[in-house]
Amino acid sequence: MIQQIITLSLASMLQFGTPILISALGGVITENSGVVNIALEGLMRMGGFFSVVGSYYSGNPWIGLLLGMGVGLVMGLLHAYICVTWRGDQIVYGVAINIFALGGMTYLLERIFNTTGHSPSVPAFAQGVKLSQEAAFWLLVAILFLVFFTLFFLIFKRNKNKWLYSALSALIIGFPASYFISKIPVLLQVFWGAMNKQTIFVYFALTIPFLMHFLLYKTKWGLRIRAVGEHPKAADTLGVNVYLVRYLCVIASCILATISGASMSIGQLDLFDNNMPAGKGFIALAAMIFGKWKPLNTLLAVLFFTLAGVAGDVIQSLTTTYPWLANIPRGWLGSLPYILTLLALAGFVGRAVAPAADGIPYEKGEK
Amino acid sequence: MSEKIGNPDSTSLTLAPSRRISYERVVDFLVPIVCIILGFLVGMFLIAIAGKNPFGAYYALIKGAFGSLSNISESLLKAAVLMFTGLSVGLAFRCGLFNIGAEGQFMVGAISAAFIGHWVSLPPYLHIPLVFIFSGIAAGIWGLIAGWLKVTRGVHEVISTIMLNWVAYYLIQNWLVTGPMAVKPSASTQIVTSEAGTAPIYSTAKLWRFLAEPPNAVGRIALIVLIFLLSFFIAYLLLKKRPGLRKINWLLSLIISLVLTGLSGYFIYQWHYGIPGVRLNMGIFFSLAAVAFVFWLLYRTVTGYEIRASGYNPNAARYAGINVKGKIMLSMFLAGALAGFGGVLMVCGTEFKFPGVFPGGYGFDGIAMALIGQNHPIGIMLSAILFGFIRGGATAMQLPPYQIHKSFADIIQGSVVLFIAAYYIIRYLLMLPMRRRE
Repeated sequence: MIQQIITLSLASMLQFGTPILISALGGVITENSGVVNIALEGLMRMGGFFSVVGSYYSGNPWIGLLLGMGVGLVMGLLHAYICVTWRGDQIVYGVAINIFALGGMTYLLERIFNTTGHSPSVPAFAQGVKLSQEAAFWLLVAILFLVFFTLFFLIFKRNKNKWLYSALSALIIGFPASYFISKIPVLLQVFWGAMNKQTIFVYFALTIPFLMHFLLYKTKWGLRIRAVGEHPKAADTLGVNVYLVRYLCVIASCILATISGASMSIGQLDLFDNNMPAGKGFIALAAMIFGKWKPLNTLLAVLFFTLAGVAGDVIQSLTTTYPWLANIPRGWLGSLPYILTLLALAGFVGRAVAPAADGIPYEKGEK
Repeated sequence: MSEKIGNPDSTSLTLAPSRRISYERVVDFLVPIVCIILGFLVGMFLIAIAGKNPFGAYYALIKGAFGSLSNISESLLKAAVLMFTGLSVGLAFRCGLFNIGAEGQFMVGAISAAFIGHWVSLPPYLHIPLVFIFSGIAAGIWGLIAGWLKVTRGVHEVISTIMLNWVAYYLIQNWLVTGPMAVKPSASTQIVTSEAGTAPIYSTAKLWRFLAEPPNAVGRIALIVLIFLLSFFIAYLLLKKRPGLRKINWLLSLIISLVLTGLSGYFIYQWHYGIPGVRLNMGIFFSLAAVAFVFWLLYRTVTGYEIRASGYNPNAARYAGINVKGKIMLSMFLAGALAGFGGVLMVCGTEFKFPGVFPGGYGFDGIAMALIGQNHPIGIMLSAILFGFIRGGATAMQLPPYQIHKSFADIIQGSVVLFIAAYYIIRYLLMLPMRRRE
């Protein structure tokens, strides 16, 4: 019973959290470069809609996803052109895109599909990736192995031969350990139940925070991005092309936001619902701040938000065994993540500090 | 905000300053108008690519907005609410704050109005003011939370107001409206669904629909007092700048406003018939009064000057001895109260309860109103009236020959704000004729 509930809630957490996580990371990358993107909600809406359109006309969800990403690219170029090149107000632009997406997608939905509530069904990824129990086992082993490797790497951080030592110890201790941990039937069952038939977007969402962490903190370009976000003038003086970095980051952010829209429309479902993101773009914004503008912290913040998000469903399913739980109003649970974010921002749960130049347009040569 | 954006270029002038500055002022004034025109062109383009005649569609829009008295009244109803939320965002803008939370404050105001409207029983001349005071304070406190967080904890108000919107949404629509404040299912009535909303307010808390309902004494007196205040205010503003009348301008404006009030009072007491179905109510006068109040506050009082100074350059204001933190808290409180009054108009003017399916978006539209109106109360009033009529007309465009979805109004609004965001581009283009001449 408990195992079943945990499996189901993990699966629904993954579904609920995937779009939030992808677009939150879109927010992370652009805000690290110093451009605010509060248009995430509208971009998710656009991505969701246009991926359905692409899939509808081509019959192939991949083409739909590509069309969604193409729209993200165009919107990113527009965003960067107005807010970076012409130093337009980034928040005003974001508000405009959110309003525009709200009206525009409703309008286009009626124009293209002749419907008002939602589009017809289109070919989609909704079936998900079928995992055999065997594959789930090896996936779990691989994940645990990476965790062990990271742990050993952190232990040998100061050592000169840290790569060699951590690889050796991971192979000798980590691999058998992760193999036997994965053999625990309950753990494997829960993992398999949660991961089976999830869409490719879930896998994408779970890998991208680590990739982005690597990009931002371990590569030259990451350093440039953070420098541009913290002190664009200094970065410019040292020869970093501030505008180029910001353009790339804004475009990446908009593409990620449209992918997250696609993950809702042609990922979880096979149609576009007119009230689709339903505030998930704003939750993503909150998660980004709760995660202090860092990719891995954002992953944890999204996990926390999704926990609060599915708590309502879990409690619903528990009311048969624990009737007193029915007394908790759903509105309280719904508002909990936002109240906690406010508390976090207020410094009661650890202070969140934005990149110093976040939201400030940069003009070359200004004093 | 617009002031902030508008200035940097004006330092690098080479031409004779007087002429250049006047042209710049004209350009600053023109930018929102150009943005609105461009927004309409985008709308025309969208209609044209849908294979319909854009001119005919716009004619239908105008007819839908102005075609009959009830159409005009519906548009003005929307305009009245938009004015309040627009003023809320605009006032906060003047203090350098971006109040995205107008939506949440609107909801808090609406639920407070529904609460006082149903759970308190009073004669109308006490009930309506109580509704306004209570909702204003409740929504003001909701706005004040963001201001307080900014002042004491350094939380950016954009983020905190977004969060507060969602907190308000979940606490009100998923808890209060469906839980403690929901309509009690009585034995005789049908089954109550979750979309029923709260219990209806008493008729003592309803705003007078002065075109539809027979006049009552309180409505008449309130209307006359409002007309007196408004006309006095406008007359005073008009006469103030006249050099010859400096000593007696207040006396003159008093006389003018008394005459106007007397005339309108005569007509109000002659008002015998009612036009059924016209929902226009006293709310529009409250909105106009709020425009006048915000104008007076911002441009005719020391507090307003300090609010604007804090928004324009907080450091300079602090060195000049202005209590910037206090001004931030004050303007967030006032912004919240103004947005909350918009909620009062919706509950006490049209819906008569907190509806189960909440007509959201007024708060977010308020942002657009403030941006298009350049954060000036008069500009906000004009843009709210414009978009009230566009929204009213867009519902008429849905009818057969054109069948354009009413979200068309959102498209126009969104593209106008988009052009406002591209302020520098529009400004640059408008300044081109000047550059060529150099």
